[in-house]
Amino acid sequence: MLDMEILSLTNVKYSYTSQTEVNEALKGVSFSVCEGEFVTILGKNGSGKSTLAKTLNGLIIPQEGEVRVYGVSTREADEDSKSHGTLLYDIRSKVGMVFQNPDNQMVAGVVEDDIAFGPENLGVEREEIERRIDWSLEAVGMAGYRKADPSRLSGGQKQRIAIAGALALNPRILVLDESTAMLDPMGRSEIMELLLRLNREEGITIILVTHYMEEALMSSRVIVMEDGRVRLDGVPREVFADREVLSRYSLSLPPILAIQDMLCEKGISLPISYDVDTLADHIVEVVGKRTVSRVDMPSATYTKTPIVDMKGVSFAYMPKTPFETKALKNINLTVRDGELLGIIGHTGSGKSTLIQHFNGLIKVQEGEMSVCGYPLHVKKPEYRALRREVGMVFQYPEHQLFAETVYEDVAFGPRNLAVPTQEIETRVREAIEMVGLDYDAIKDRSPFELSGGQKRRVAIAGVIAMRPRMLILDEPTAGLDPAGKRDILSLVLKLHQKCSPTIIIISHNMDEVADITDRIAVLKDGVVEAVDTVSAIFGDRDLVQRCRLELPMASRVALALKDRGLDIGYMPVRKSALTDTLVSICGGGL
Amino acid sequence: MRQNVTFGQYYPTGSIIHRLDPRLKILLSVAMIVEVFLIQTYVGFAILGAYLLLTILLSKIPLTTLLKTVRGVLFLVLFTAICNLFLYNPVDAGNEYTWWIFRVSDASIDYAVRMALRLVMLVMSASMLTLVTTPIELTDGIESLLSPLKVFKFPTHDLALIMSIALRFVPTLMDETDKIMMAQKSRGADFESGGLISRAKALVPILIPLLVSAFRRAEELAEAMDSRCYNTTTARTRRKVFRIGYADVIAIMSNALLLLLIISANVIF
Repeated sequence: MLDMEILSLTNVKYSYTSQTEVNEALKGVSFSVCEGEFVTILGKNGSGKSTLAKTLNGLIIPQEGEVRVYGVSTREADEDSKSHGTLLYDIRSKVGMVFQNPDNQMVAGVVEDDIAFGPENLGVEREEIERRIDWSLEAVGMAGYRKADPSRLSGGQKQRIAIAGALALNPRILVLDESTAMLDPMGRSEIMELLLRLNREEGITIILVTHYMEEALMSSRVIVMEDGRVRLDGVPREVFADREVLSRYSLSLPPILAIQDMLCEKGISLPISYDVDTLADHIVEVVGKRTVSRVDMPSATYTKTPIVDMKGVSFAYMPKTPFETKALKNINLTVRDGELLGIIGHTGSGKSTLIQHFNGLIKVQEGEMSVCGYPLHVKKPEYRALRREVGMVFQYPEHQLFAETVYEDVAFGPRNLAVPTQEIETRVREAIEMVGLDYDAIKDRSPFELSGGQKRRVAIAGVIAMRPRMLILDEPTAGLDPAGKRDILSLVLKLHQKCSPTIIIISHNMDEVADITDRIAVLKDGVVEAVDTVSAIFGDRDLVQRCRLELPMASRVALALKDRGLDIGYMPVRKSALTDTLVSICGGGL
Repeated sequence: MRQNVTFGQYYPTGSIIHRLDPRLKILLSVAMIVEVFLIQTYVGFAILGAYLLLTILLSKIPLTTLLKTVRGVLFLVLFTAICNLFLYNPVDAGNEYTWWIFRVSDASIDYAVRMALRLVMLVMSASMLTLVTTPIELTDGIESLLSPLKVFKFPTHDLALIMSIALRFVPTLMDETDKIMMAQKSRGADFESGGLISRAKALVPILIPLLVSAFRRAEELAEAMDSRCYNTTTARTRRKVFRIGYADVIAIMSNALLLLLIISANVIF
């Protein structure tokens, strides 16, 4: 492959202007991309990544500097389009663009119509369009879905359709702006596999904007943005080698590197490895092969009183119609008072339906259940009283903010509970401070002008202000950058200690679940497959395979070690547990 | 979360009626509506009723489903019938029956019954169209039927695109509304009790997030459409071609026969 420069940016500057302020998003970005590269762009929220992505196909024309695609400047192309030229459409068909939210980039209610949208716009011949639909569906592995309704597909499938829609324009470059952010792990790995294949087999240049460090490890080049500038640019291994720089730009280490760092701190230094097998090889070299007698993990202590008790609960949407879908089947589940329970399972496994039963958003159709002492299978359950006790933070809770000021929004819940006025202020202050925001600075601001992470905290504060006994969080870290994720997770632990003793958290990130929860319930196709301690769940190979669970990194390393004859006696799920054990084995042997 | 909401009332059975050309289904429904108004005799009603029944049987849609759509307008039907019963008063009205201040005649009974039959058949014909045709097919059909208007620079494709996008986002926005409502309910909001004003006020926490989200979605969609070369300069390809099949021809002929029978019934009886 020739190192042909197909995309070049020289000193690109762009700022957004509103009535009140000028926000410089790009402050002089220069780099170029050669044919066949796989580039990931990293950087925390607000670093200018998305703006950068939009300059690449002329959605945004830089105010200063130049973006050239195959030698053509986007500015010239834009001016050309004003005089009815087609240069801009040439650029847009060469640079395919896929966005974050799969729902917001589909125009048609049938897959094939949606894919045809691009070529139709360009006036491509009818037979050629049909060929391109076939080819692009084939390329994204969705050949059987030509007539499907996109709104019924999974997130990963929708995103593949969106990629097919871009491919139908025969692009040479594919730009993906956080296209994996809203997907579950399975959807994400589907997309990554697809991108790697398109890159390798079709020679399409990929530019992927992401928060996932694991994805960056798979690419051939990493660009780190901060404050509207390119801070680092190199192959992933070089970029991740400089730990200090990483933390300066609020990036997190990929879990596999984090484990090596922890080992290093504890005195076991190994040559750096980027995949589980190599790492396991290195560890076995140092620690040696041995079998450690079974270690019994101390189990967490809780009161035995159940706070949620479900017996034989089943639920179907649109029952007794042709559209009937069974969401829950014969659920038996007990949540203990004071525990931090994780719920995992793939999209569509019934997690959301299940938690909506917990505060009576869904009426029990079949079976018996009680929450906080309120029976819910009776004719008229006491929903209002129940909702005082059970707080619920939905996915992307910031999408439910509505009031003029942060104070008013947080006060909404307590007001509905008829909390006396004097007490409301105390509660609002307490809740806002609890989520780590400055009460006096933020209370009179509009929630809509805050940053993404701040909005999410305000939304969580709105639930905390109701002082629930039990708190349910549906994927609280979804869509945040690494720093935002860390903050929310430590917030959850803090809430567990200080506010609401019982917490139920839904998460797709196994490392996250392993790090903070005591017990996990695994859902699959509306059935609770298992409820047990974290290490028992991930230690059950059969269950892991049957439910296609992703393992936390520590467990994956432990399994690889076992295969190589180093059995550490239990299934570690937290990185700290694995590294501690390895250090103690090593210390005992020496 | 997804409740498999289907917009409209499409009832999938995959029958021969479902598979007819959507343009034809639209035209035939219009024809049936015209025929309903052409009918003057009870024999005519019987013929059209039989035709409707045959269509329903062929479409494999349960009769009860169709009757449910009639139930929705039952009040209207009864109201019109009762009004006609007492108020229709032609010169030659036949036998008259009086009770207290009410007075009906043979003619007004006859008129009321016809009116009720007409309305019921009208609703059934229109419902049949939406039961056997998906909203997407309807959009395509309407676009194709309107295409002659292009001569007058009427933007038929843009119109169809608007309809298609609107249909595409109905389930998305319904899901969103559902989610926001549940979130605010979880925060103790009450949408069911209180007077008119407090209920209207209770909608604010739903409407504002919904509007914000609709605008965000619209903006993102616009960028996605731009990225896929949406423009008004180049001539777009028209990808959909409809082909008339045997079943379509039979449907046209049967409807022509129906029209003929109804007119002859009018003349003979």
